[in-house]
Amino acid sequence: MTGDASSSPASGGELARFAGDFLDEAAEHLATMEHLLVGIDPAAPDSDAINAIFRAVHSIKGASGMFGFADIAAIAHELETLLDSVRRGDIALDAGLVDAMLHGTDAVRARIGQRAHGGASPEDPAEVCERLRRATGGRASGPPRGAAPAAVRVLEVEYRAQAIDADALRELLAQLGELGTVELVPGAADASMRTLRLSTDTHQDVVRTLFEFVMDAGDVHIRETAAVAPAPNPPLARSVPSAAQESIRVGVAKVDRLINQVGELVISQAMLAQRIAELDPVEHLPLLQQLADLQRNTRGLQDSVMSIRMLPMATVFARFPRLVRDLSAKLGKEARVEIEGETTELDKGLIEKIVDPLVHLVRNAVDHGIEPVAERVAQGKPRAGLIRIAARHQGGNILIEVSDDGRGLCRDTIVAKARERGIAVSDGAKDREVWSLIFEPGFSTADVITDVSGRGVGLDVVKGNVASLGGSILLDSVRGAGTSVGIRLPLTLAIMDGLAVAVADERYIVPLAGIIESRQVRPSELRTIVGHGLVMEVRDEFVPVVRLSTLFGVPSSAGRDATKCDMVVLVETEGTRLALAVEDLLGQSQVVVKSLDANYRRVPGIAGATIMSDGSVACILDLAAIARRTRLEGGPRSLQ
Amino acid sequence: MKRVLVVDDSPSVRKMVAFVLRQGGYDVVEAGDANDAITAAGFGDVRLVITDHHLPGDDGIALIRALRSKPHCAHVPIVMLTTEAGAELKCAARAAGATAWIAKPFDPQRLLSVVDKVLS
Repeated sequence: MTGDASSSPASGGELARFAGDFLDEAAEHLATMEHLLVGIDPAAPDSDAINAIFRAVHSIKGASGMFGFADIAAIAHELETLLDSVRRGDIALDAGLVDAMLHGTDAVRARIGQRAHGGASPEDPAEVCERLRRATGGRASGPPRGAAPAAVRVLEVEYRAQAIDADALRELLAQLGELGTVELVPGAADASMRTLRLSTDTHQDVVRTLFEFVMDAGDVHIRETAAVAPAPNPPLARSVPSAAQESIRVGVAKVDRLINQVGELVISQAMLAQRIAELDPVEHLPLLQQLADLQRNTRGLQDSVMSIRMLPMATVFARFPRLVRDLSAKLGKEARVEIEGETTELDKGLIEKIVDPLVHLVRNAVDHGIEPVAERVAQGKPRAGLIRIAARHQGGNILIEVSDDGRGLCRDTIVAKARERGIAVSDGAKDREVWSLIFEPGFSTADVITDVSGRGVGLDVVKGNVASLGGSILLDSVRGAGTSVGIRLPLTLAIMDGLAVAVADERYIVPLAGIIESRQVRPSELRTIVGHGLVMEVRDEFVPVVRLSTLFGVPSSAGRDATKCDMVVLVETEGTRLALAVEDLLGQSQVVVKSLDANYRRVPGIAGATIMSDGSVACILDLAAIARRTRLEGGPRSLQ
Repeated sequence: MKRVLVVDDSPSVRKMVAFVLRQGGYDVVEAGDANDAITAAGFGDVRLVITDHHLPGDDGIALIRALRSKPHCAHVPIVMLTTEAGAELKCAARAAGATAWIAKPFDPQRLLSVVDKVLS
C-alpha cells in the first residue's frame, strides 16, 4: 500500500533537527580535507589523497544541499570542480591551488561554525567561489562531458502527457536542455500524447533512460530523424575508498551522566568498605574477599567510563602543521613541524580548553622564536626552523611541550623590560625566575609587535588558562638554541588525587598536583614578618603560612593555640609557594570532583567538593585562588 | 508496513530520508555502504532500496548490480537518490537495473510520491 495522504511528509522545519548531525559530519570531513591538503606534495600528488579529498567535499556538497545550506553547497561545488579537474589530469596541482583549496575549506568551516555557534558572518560565498575559479585560471572544466561532439542527431520523443507530473517534467526538460536543444512539436495526432524534438549529440538510448526513470517504458517512444554516429563510451564516476569508522556517536551529556553515576557507585562502594572494615576479618573472610572483587570491578568500571571522554591529542595537534605553514609563509620564514605523541589521550573538556593556549604558544614560537632564514643560515642552523609539539603521559598527568630551535629568550632584555615596568629583579636571580617574568600581564619582549602574536595579550593569559585547568606551565630557554614551554595538566577534571586534611571538624582536599611536601613544623622555622604575617623558612625561602581555619572562618579545635602551627602542607601554584597550616593529615585518596557552582554556589578559594568515603562532604581547595589572595593582601586573610 | 532500505554514507542525510519515509508510513532500515546494504537486503523483506551513488567502497551502481544478481532482490525497485545527475551516469544506473532517479537536494513530498509510485 502507498503511504496515505493524511500522514504528510516532514516540513522543512521538522527536518532542521538533522542539521546538527550534518554540521558534526561536515566538521569531520573538513578536518580530513585539511589534513590531506596540508600533507600533499603539489609536485607529485598522491591520487588516493586527491580522491579522499574529493569524496569529503562531495559529501559536504550533497548533504549541505539537503539541509538548504546553498552557500556551503556552492563553495563545495567549486572545490569539487577544481578537484575533479586535478583528478582527471586537466590541470596540474601547484602550491597556489592547494592554498586556494585550503582557503575554500576555511570558508566552509566558517559557515559551518556560524550555523553551529552563531557569530560574525563569514566571507561572501560568491567571493570565495570566484577566488577558487581564479585559482585555476579558468583551466578547470565543469562536470565531465563525453568525448568530442559527434554528429548532431534529431530525436523525436513522444510521451503520454499523463505519465509525468509537472515537477518531474521540469527536471527532465532541464536535463534534456543540457544535452542539446529541446522544442515542443505542436499538433500531435493523439491529444493525450506530447512530442518533443531534441537536437543533440547524445545517443537515443541515453535519452530513453532519462524518460524511463520518470515514466513507464510503454509511455515513451523515441525515433531518430537524422544520421547516427557511434556514441562514445560514457565515463563512469569512480568510487573512492575511505576508511570505515567503527564508532558510535553519543552526546557528551550522556557520558557525563554515566561518569557521575559511576562516581556515586565508587563512593557507595567506599562507604560499604568502611563499614565492613569494622567487622572481624577472620569471621567475615569471604565477605572481605567479595568486597575486594567489588572494589576492583568498580575501579575498572570507573577507568573504562572515564576513557570514553578521552580524546587523542591528535584532535588538537592536527591544526598545527597548517598553522605553522601559513604563519611562516606570512612572516617570510621557513619552519617545519614535528609532532610526537598525538595518540596520547586527554579528557575532552580539557582538550577543548587547551587549544587556545597551545595555539598561542605555537604562534609565539614561529613569530618570536624562529629566526628569519638569513639569520639562521648565518648562524649555521638549517634554513627551516623546527617547531616540535609533543605530548606524553607522566604519572597521572599529561605533559605537552612546544619547543623551537630558534633564538631563545634574552635574559638581559627581559630583566631590563621588567625593571622598566617597576618589577624588582635582582642581578643574581635564577634563570627560572627571569623566565617566569614573561608570564606577567602585559609583558612582551618582542622588538616588533606583529599582527601574528598580537599586542602583549599573551603569556599571562596562557598561564591563567592552564592554571584554571589545574595545570602548571614551565619554560626553559637557551640563548641561540631555542625555547621550550611545557604544560602539565591533569588527565581529567572529573577525578583528582588529593590529600585530605582536617581543620577542627572540617575536612579539605588539597590537590596532590600542587603539593611539594607535608610535614610537622619546628617552632624555629616560623617567624612573623611585619606586613606579611606568619612565614615559614623553607630552605633559603620565606613562605607565607596560610591558616585554613582563618581563611575559611572555621574556629580552631578547642584547646589549640591559634598562634601555634605544627602541621603544614607545602604547596606551589603559579610559581608561588604557600604553607597551608592544618591540624591533621588524613591521607591520600582519589576523589570524584563535584562542582560547587552547579550544586551550590561559587565559593572563593574552593574549586569544588567531593563526598568522602564516610559520606561527609569535603571541599577541594583552589590553590591558585588562595595564592592570588595571599599575594594581593601581602598575607593571608579571611576569604569571607 | 513496507520496508525500505536507505543507503547513504552521510548519517544526517540517512536520518532525514528515513524520517520522511517513516512519516509516509514506511518501515526503514539504514545502511552506510554497499556491504551493509547487501547484508540488510539479505533478509529478503526489503521492498524498496533507495541508494546514493557516492558510497565508501563500492558505489551505488555496483551495489545495484550486486543486488540484481541476488534472487530475492532481482525485482525489488531501486531508486537512486544522489547529487549527480549526468545522463551517462543515469544510463549506467539504468543498465545496472535502477528503477528511478531522484536528484539531491530532494523535496520530501516528491520523494514520497516517487516511492509510492514505484511501490504501487
